[in-house]
Amino acid sequence: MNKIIERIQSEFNETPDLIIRKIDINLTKYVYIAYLETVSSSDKINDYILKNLNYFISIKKLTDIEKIIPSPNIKFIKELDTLEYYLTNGFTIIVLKNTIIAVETRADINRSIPAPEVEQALYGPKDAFNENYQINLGLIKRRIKSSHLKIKELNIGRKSNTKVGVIYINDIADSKNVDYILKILNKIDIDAIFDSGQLAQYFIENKSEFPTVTSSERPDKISKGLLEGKIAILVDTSPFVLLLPAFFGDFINPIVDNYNKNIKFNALRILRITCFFLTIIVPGYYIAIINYNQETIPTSLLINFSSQRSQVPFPSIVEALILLFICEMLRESDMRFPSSYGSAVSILGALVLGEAAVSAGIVSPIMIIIIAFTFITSLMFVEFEMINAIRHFRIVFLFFASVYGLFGLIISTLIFFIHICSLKTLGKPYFYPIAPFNKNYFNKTFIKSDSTKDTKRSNLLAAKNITKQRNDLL
Amino acid sequence: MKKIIILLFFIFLSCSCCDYKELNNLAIVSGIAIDFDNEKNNFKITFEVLNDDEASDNSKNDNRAYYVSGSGKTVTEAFNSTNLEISKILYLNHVKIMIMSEEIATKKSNQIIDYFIRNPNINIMFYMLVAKENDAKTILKSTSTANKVVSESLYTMIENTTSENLSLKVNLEDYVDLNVNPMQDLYLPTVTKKNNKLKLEGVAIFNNKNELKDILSYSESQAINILLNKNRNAFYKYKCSSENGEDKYVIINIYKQKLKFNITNSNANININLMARIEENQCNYDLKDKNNYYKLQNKFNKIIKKDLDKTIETLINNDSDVLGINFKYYKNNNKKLNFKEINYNFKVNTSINRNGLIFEVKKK
Repeated sequence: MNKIIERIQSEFNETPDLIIRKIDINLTKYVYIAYLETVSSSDKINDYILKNLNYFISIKKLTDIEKIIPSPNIKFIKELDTLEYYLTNGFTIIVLKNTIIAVETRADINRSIPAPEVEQALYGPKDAFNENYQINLGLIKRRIKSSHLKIKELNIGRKSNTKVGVIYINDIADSKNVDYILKILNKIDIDAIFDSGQLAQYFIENKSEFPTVTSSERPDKISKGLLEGKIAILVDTSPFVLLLPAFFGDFINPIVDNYNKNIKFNALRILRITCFFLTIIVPGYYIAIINYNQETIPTSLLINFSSQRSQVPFPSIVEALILLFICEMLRESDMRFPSSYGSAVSILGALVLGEAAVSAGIVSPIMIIIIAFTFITSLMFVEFEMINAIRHFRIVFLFFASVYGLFGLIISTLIFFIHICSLKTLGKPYFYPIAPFNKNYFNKTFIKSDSTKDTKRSNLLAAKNITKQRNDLL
Repeated sequence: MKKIIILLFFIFLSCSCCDYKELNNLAIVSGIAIDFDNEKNNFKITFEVLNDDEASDNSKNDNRAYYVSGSGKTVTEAFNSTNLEISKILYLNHVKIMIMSEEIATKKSNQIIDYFIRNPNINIMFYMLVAKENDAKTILKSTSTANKVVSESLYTMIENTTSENLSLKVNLEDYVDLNVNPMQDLYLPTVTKKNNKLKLEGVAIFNNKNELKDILSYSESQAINILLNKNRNAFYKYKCSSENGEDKYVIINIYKQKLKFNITNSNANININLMARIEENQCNYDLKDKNNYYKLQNKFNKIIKKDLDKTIETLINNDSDVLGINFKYYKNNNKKLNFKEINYNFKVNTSINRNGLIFEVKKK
């Protein structure tokens, strides 16, 4: 047997899906074909290789094989070490004497392009990334049809050998950022990468609860980010694409706002920003005014609060913590449980929270209103890590408010701003469009300006080619 | 990290949870009544506490408030003795009304004010009243179906009084301001109980020693409001005819005013511009004729001037400089002069609103 085939066999022993066939072309000539049945398409092997074997007799030079086989991707392999890579990636290996040819016969084991599930929106494109690297890349390229869209590919994972692509637009993005990202990616030496989320952890510079990397399933969001000068990281087998750098403002408002014609959409944007702060502050504020600064509550309301509280044996901070714990528990169980059971959890939660807890005298109705308000306002933010950050600071605010009242609330507000202002993402300030203030980027993230005035890219992100729209025509 | 730990350590040391009060342990005080018992030489304090019992949520329940009393030789003793009657902490940050008896207002107001200024846990925005012809406690306890919480009713009464321009809003802050200013005397609104109903009365005026001197009549109170530039809704009437023993009037409502004091060399020239509208015209004046307006304006100028002169005379007789004339003179001339030695010249200019009326054009 051919030595090459022997090597393949020894490397892939105990791999039952490895198929090796010896096919005689004529009395003297024969070829070996090797492929992994599970990742290759038998139709493609048949069409590209088996049907054309007859023409192998007439070959004069080995390079002519390329002309005979109609596969779009044929590679002549010179290093035997790469055989493993090609076989596991769905290539069929043809061994003719000492020549090894890899023909792409990858099986189509993808699902079709799905609709966004995490970042749902009423308007805007309805396609989302799936687990296929090429399809995901295609979805981006469909939106940016430019040769300036560059991709630097590398494989990460000793066992998984996952393809990772760093995508950027070379006449917009800062090359220093690209180099920095590639440097970090090249340093990663790990068994396997299964999702882009694993890679995101390598780009966290500070130990913070706030996310410094955006992860999105929407190709339009990634494309818009690329055009702003950001850099995307595409990972094979992951339906989420990373976008760097990510600033605080990127997490507040969704991209779909841009598809809305009405500039008055800003009211909604202000609502979201307000809700971000409310969801952090409200429980702490309630605890502060109810325990320390009762003079700030109107008298009639204070009497109502007081009569509701009179039945509860716990201090209000314990009451708040009990309810927050129950809510987090419900949220988590709702997320993990199969969706068909989801309604049962909600009903149980509503019963436990709404009726039974009050009549049992564990919590007061006003506390339920406060915690429900806190949770409803936090539901506006879909990024899981942002929810974590909100939860973290909510507890910080609650702690300080329960010890120092409104004074504690001021201390915790200072801690919040000092923390968020000290964060960095790819060496750039995390609280960016606000501090340092940048009107261009502020108008893209926080308050939307008229599309006709959106003529410049942010100079912090885009190194060159700052202008993106001619404004003298309008 | 070390710095943060040290900082936190000091924060925890430097302040504590001493202000921590669980809401259901508070007795929310809405009104305070202070009397003086001459026989025992005691201060008597009564608190109106809002009832936060769950049962009081029911609107049919009349006990929306209950009362706690205490007495003592000093104000502090009296306040502290009230704590013995109640299981909760008395919370004074929601006080809306404080009623003083005439006795307290006349002789002991300084001690009361001293106590309130030094107490940091008290709201300073409550209104102060003097109980006329009644004990403060009687006033505070006169609940009826209409007024389940007396302090709340009195508070709304003072806030909303528009028909009779009697009450001046004086809260603790204003009261202290007036008290510490040696060149201006105190004034306070009064309240009385007649036929089991609460009623706001004229303004109480004090002398330089913070002793209550007199309670002004309706017309004088109205004039004081104008002279203090706090007029909100004054009414004046002019008797225009008397037919068959029945008097007929023209009534105007003053809705806006401008006041200018000019005090030089013991002469006070006070210019008052009043904007008014006609409320009632019983004499059937032809209001489409401009001349009638001018006539009415002149009449009212005289009526108001007479009222003002009378009020100033009352103030001088009672040695009560509630208008702060002494202070105004000192500010302008950097010299002291007793307000009694000043000649007051009022120049009243009433302009009755004619906007919106159509005058008949007389064809020649």
